[in-house]
Amino acid sequence: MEALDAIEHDVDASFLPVQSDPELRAVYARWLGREGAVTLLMRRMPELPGPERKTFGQAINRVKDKVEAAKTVCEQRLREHARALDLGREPLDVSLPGRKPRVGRLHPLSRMMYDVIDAFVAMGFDVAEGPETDWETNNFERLGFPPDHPAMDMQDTFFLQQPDGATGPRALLRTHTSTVQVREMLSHAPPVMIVAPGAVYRRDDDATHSPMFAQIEGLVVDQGIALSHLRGTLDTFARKLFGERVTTRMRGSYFPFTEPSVELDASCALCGGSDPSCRMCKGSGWLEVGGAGMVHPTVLKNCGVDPEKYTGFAFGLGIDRLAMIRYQIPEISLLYQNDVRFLESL
Amino acid sequence: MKISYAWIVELLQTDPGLDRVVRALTDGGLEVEHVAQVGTHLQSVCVAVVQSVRAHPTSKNPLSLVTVDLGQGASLEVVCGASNVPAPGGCVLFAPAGAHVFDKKGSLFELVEKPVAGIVSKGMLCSEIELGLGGDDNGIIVLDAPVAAGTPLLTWFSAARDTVLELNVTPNRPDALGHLGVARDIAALLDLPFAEPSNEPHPTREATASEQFSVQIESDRCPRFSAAVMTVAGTTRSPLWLRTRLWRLGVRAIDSVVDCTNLVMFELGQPTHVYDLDAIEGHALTVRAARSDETLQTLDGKTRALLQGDVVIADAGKCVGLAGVMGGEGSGVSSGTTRLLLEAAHFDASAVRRMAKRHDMHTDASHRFERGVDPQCPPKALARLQHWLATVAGAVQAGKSLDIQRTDSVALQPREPLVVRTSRVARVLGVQITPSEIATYLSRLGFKMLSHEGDAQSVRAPTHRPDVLQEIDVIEEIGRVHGYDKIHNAVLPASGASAGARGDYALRRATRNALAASGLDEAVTYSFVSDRVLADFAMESSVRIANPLSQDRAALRPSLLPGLLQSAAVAVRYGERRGRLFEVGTVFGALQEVSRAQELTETRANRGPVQEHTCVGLVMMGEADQWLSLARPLDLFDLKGVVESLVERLGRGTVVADRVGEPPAWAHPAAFARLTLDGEVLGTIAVLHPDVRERFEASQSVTLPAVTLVGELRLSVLAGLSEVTLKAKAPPKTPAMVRDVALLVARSHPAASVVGALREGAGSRCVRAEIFDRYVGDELPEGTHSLAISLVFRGANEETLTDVQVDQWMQAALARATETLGATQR
Repeated sequence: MEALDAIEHDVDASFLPVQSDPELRAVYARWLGREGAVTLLMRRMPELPGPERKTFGQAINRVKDKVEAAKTVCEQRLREHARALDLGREPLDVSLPGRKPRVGRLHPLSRMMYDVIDAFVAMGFDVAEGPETDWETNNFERLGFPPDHPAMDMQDTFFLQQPDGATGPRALLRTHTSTVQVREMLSHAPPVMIVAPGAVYRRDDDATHSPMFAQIEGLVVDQGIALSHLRGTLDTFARKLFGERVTTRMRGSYFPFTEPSVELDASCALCGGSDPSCRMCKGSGWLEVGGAGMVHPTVLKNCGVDPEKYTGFAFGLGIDRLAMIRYQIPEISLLYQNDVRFLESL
Repeated sequence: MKISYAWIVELLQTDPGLDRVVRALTDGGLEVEHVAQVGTHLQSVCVAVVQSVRAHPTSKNPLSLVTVDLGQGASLEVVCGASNVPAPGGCVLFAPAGAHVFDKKGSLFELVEKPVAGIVSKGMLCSEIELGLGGDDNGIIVLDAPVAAGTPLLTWFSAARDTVLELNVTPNRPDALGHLGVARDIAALLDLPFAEPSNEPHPTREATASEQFSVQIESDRCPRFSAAVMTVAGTTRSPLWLRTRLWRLGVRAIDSVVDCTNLVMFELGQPTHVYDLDAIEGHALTVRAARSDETLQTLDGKTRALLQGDVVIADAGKCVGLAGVMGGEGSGVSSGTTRLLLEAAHFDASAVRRMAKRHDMHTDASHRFERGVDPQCPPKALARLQHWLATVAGAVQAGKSLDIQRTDSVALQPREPLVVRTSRVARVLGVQITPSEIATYLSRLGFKMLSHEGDAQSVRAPTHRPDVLQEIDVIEEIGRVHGYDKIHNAVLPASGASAGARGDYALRRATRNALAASGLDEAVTYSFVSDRVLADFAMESSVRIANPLSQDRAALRPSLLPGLLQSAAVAVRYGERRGRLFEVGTVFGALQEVSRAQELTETRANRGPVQEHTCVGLVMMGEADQWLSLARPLDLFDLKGVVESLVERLGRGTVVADRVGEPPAWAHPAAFARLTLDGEVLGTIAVLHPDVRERFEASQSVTLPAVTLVGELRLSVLAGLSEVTLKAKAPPKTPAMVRDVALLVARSHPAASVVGALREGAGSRCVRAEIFDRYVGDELPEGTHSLAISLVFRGANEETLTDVQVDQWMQAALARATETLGATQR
């Protein structure tokens, strides 16, 4: 019993110098381990006579509880100490670079094109496509280009080498996505409501012209389609693309395959016409969105559509020019050089 | 096409306001691209009267000191370098210091007082070039008649100030290639009265015997030829107003006769020509087909061999002009010419166009003829030319004017009436326009209203509008005059029709997004490549451009890789050490000859003349992207991983890499993989072949990073992958059990076969087996490597696996690997 009292007296003090988990385990084992002082006393319990045994047992339990309580206190103290150390450690240099998965970028032409397509798809258009090489039949004839007419000069054409003595229609790189108008109308009867994106080619190469560039064509053919629908459609498109405050105007123009032909301009989203040195509209207040018009009855006829029953409109937008305006690209050739340092800037 | 606003005001006899005119023209289809105020810098320039002239006392150059009277008692001595300073009393133009004048290059600069050879000049006496009034810099302007000293230039000569509009005239509007036509359109668009200018009667006398001439039309390409003879005392310098007018329109004045022909062309849009009658053999002109051996020396000094199909104007012995394109040297007017033979003719548009193209001569005349000049214009233009020659050059007509017409010519027949339906106008434009509005609009444009019955009005288009051929063309005119800004925005009735001409748009787009998400940048390269870079890649193009911009861009690409690697090399030349590029684009196979009938079938099937395939090109160069760990060069497995994640993003499929078949020439034979997707060949990825690399580096002057990986895939093989085929799996309710094993195995067995053997042996509860480490080292037996593989076991349904079970399956797996591949556990 005296031994037990001595132990009880020493328990609390024994945990005080503990600084680590192993030390804690060692001190705990000194009392309650297999060879611990309390354990050894407990083992001697059967030697005691009955009444004493009960008293002794209660005392042992009291001491055991005391050891356990002291251990808990000590654990809490160690945890708090460790937490304080962790919180007080040398802070991270957060200016070191992040481990970032490399970001790949879509080409500015793709991004511009997809924005344009999405605007039209949201209005109910489907996406059509045709080949980049085509015949003069689809690129010119069925679109009503008069042979030997200066209208052909508007689109200087790359022809493909054909064997000598070839008699069929000449093959070329399409000069516009309008070839898809023909292909779409020949593929099924109206209604037609498509946009046709793709690469087109003209023999031109300067700061604003590239021999290859991207266009998107639109075509709607149905009963009761009028120029007012064209205007409404392109007006909605311009607001989707440039912002709700933008207004549009339609003015006369000429394309062999539309009649009437118009150009659609959008008011400058940047300056609204108020800045004479505006980088977007060059002070005119207007941005050319694209050429458009009512599909020429001859084109409808050439594609097997009855122009008395159906009317339609078509439009064509230059994606390169839109991208150059949006991203302030000074020269069109930058778009096709693919210098990583240029691509990563966008 | 440059338009003088002052001239337009003259023709309209009223000034509608510049802004209104610009807006009306632009909205009406004649876009005003640029508006330039000219002559505004002439404010302080005034007339000066020469009082005395003396030589410069010290200068070695022929400078003179001219004392001029500037009016109101002011006089000044100025230094002048011109040799044509008039005698005292002569009138010249004086620009004081502070005024702006043009230098020889055409830029304005401010005059400052500065000593010229030691003597300070407070201004200068000016030439046409300096004032921007003409193209003559050979001496100062000397006025023809006396003008009071000090009179401001702009008071004495108000046309010195003008506004020049740059019009974008579309090819369908030949009528707008003259001021009269533009004025007519403005009048129609703004509802102003309009009348063509009338000619003063000019002096005429009987022709003498030596002034007789004849004209004969043999070619059906010339429906009409008007001609006349006039006499002058010799050609002179045109008056300043005419010289200035032409200069402002971009043409240099030559002499009074040539200037008058240009004036008529800029006014009516009809080219005319004047011959020296005495240079015309036999005084006889014939319009005929060129003979095969003929040549013509044109006014630009070049001798041209004429070709079959050319139409010429010839005299009894030689050709004197290429019809509608350019006159001949030697038969035109010169300073001594006194007898003029005037020509105003109509030539067939396509004939002129073919001649101009063949001879590569684009002239003001051919530009107009090939767009279609009014066939009724020649007599009118001849009369106008006579009017101006009489006014400007004092010409007198000798004898009668001729107007020869080929009565069989279609161009000269009265134009067929066109029917325009009020209902059709509304259907096309989407706006109701009344029959009387229609009649008003068309009348303003010069259309004749013939009859009106119910919905239909019959109209005849004016001859100056050759582009109006059908009802729809008339409707466009109605829309133009009505004003497109009055057409409202209508909402499209959604028809929701699916596209019939389909391509691989959606797949291209999804592929681009997936590859960008894997850290590659998208490139868009030209479809044409140089033969040289193709040779570097040991490739040949099967289709070529017949008329390329340069030989560098003559071949259509058979593969994306040459162009893509060229793009990747651009930044490498500037020191960029990594490259990650992809392109999704079209490559071109062989061209197939088709007949017209086959062409329509092919078109309906949405095919073109060349086999086109969409490919995916891949380039990765340099080191792997990482930080704070050891730099690691890229290897083929980086590129393989990109393809694997592409497939996983598009849907689900199994990409298998093997070395079956002959690798492409650009692929390193020991470091290439043929990739198949669910058994179909998807493409090849490889380390760039060292031979290709060496040739490419030499031809492109670039040193590529040590590791350059390339790959090309066929997009169509990815088409079967789809979100639609994916099926959801409920997450398993039992935990997976994982066992790792390291196997020593011969390197000749593909790692995939080791994994395959393990899975076969492990049975159905093994749901995954992955290689997570590979070790090669000297202490291992020769030709072997150690693969660390992790096997994942999971019970079916809610079955819970025990260690004992899994250990058994592992034993079976190892036994299979040992048995089939001789693998041993390390």
